[in-house]
Amino acid sequence: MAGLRQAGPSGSIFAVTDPSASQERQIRFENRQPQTGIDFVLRNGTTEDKPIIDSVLGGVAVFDFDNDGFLDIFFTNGAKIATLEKDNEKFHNRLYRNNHDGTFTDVTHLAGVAGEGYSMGVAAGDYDNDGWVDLYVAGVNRNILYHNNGDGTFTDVTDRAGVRGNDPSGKKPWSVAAAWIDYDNDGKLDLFVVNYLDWSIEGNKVCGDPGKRLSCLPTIYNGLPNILYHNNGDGTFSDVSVLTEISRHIGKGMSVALADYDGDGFTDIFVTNDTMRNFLFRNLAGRSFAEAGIEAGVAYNGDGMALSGMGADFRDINNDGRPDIVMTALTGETFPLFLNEGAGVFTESTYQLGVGWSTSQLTGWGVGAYDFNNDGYKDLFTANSMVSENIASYSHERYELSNALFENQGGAGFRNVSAEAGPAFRVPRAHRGSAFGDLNNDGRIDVVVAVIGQPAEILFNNSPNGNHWLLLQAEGTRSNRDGIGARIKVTGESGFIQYNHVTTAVGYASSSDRRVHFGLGPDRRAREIEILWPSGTVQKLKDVPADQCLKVKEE
Amino acid sequence: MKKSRQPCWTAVRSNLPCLSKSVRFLLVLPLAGLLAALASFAAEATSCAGVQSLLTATKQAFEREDLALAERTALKVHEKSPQCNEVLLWLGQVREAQGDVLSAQSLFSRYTVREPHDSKGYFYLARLIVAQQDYDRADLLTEEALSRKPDDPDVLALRGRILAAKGDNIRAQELLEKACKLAPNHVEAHFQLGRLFRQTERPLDAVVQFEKAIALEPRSPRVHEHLALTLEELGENEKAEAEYRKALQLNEGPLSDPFLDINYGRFLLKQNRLLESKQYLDRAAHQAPEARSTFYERARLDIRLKDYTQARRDAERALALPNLMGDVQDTQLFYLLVTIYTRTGEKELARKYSELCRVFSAPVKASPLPGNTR
Repeated sequence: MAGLRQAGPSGSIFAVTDPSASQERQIRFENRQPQTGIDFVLRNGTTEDKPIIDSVLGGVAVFDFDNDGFLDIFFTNGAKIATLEKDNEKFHNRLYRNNHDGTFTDVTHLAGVAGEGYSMGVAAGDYDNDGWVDLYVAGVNRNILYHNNGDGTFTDVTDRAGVRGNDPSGKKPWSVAAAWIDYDNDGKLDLFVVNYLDWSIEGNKVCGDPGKRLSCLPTIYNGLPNILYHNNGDGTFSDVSVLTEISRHIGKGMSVALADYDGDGFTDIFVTNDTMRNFLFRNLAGRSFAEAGIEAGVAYNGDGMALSGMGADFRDINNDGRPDIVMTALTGETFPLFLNEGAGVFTESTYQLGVGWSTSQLTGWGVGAYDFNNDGYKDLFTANSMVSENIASYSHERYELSNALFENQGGAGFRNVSAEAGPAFRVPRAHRGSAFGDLNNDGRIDVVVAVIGQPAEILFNNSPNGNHWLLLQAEGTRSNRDGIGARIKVTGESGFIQYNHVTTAVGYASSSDRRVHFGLGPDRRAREIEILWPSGTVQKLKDVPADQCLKVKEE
Repeated sequence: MKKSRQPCWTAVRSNLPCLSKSVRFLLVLPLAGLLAALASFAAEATSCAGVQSLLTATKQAFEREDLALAERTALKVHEKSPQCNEVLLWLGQVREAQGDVLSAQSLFSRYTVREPHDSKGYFYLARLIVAQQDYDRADLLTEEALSRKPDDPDVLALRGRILAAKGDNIRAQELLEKACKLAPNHVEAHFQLGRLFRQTERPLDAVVQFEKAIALEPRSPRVHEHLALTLEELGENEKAEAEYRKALQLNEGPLSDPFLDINYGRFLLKQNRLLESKQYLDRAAHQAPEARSTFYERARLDIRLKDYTQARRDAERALALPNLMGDVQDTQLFYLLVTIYTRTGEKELARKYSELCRVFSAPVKASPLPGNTR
């Protein structure tokens, strides 16, 4: 890894051999769910037959719906099988408002976001640039666009907006995830919807022995194309999947992550597929997309094998200015890490970076590359669990797994520090989607994880170090208001350089804080912050004090 | 790749024959032909009286891996006492270890005709055929053997292995556990049970079985190798390394298994020990120039070393080789070639192979549970 924190001829100032470094790098989390008042339990409504939908739900969003400067939390939820209806409150999606004191209040019904159908994923984004973040919920039988009214309530505008997620025949395919993206840099957020399998209750297949059914492999179902909606700017969207060639590619999509990997100024789209190759949709100047996963080296693992792709994050992990990809997968597959070498190609470096051995026995869902200890290097969090509830009847695997944390060793690879990160990382559960953001604005990235059948985990980051940080909230003017797609380069006062970009499409079926976080290590100021907005505007800020949530409006 | 391969030296080292790498692809007679061949031999009464000491010498020479001496001694037995049927089994094993499959098959068949009530002939024939991965025919032969001696741990272990290869893991486990119960010191039964557990995603149980096999037979490189592979999968790198090293130490000699070098070279590659990896993959390439996986793995190493010219040479060579072991699929090579041609700037070739990648499905990494589940 090419860490750029230069402190003289010896290179990284956080050299692995520096004894003080481990203290400065220590990461700790605490699950404060009992104290938060968040009582959400992810209900999959499973039945004896264990239909495949029951295992792949659980998207979470952290976003500031009421513009009070604090992140709120939205959970998607399942429904009754086989009706796929939320006929009971326990199946409602849930919105919790942040009370600014470590507690949250359930405002689901007040906000009108309890939802319909069997929900899976969520994407938060201000599609109409009115300054209030809207929500798109993806699901098996119902996708919903909620317009944020700015008064604590939302309105279902799905039909009016034309984003039901139907295919050209009018059939509603099973959607798992979604992402807000301004693919053509016209200043309005477009919508990408990830579809999974051609499944229906009627066509459900049953696998495993009676009494201990297992989730069927996705290989026994046909895949589906994804959908791209273009934002018309009048509250409506047009399905441009054919026009942009997105629908040419049939996949079994599970998650989506966004970044401009080739530096051409247009955001590209990475989609993990389950038991088939991943897609990397290279954005051709906002007109169409070329699927370039094979050419880029991210379609398969380094051994040329298809993975059971789950969650993904797409951002610069090694501080070289090029977005890399990390994804979760199933036991035996590792959680592959693809380093962007430039020139449009990646190299799978999972084992080289120390993530291979420690993830080969894990199955993961949510994943995020964030600098949890503010040392300037992004670490990795994964939310883990096996797929099938009854797996233990067939193998020695346990269904419930603990989450995992991999600390970036100052640019020299990763170390599994789960055992040292607090009791929360020793609790095996059926974890699913996770969302990342600073819930209490203390400069440390927190994590919210959905758990099937148990309360969600609200993991507050209480890492004990004195490192400095910046949270940067981009506000586009010519660009989309959320600034999604804006690329940010921060140079610390020491000259240490790091990169990140604005995206909410992170992990598995989930949506994270749109504010961009930077750990600054010992740097008390940023010498320079350079923002390349999707509009093409380059904006520079000089000598910015650390330890603040900084709002930057596009000039 | 990390495929478990059945190394050829097992014939000598642990009394478990398999084919020489140079003749793995030879076809054996179809079953009907085999039975016809059996009928062509006249059954004769067995008599090894007077040649017992020579038979013992044959056995000892065989176990010492002195195949030439074992062959000479066995032929002497046959000369002195043509009615001694047991020597057919020894001579057959010698031929098998020498890679002369057809001759071995003929000798085992003769034994079966002459000793129709003895399970051993069927067992040796089945074992020979298993090595050629013809599991259906081997299954029939073990069935015959078991009908003659239902509690023979050798046959139970072999049938367990065959059933595992055919995907009948439940019955395979039953037979292998029965073999272990009947003969707790049966190395092969523990080894095959370990393989089955590894195959069915029970690595911890696999380790237990491999360790039992090693306790009984510490000098079997293949058991150490399988234990190393399993420990590697469990992320127990230091232990895996130690087992690889033991396997390599025991694997020296003229009948050494090049696939051990491939597996160890791949293990080192994962650990970023590139030059060490090269040493083993180079040796494997020298010893197994017909093995696709050798050049595939070395091409991956070449890429890491940024030696794209050599990577191209190795990958293209791998593609030109038949996929005899079934361990490197064409699509994996297509993908590798895209990686290489992209880096060498050969756009047309990169495009050609990326199109092939899109047409053909790649293997899926995760092992599913039985019945399309996970």
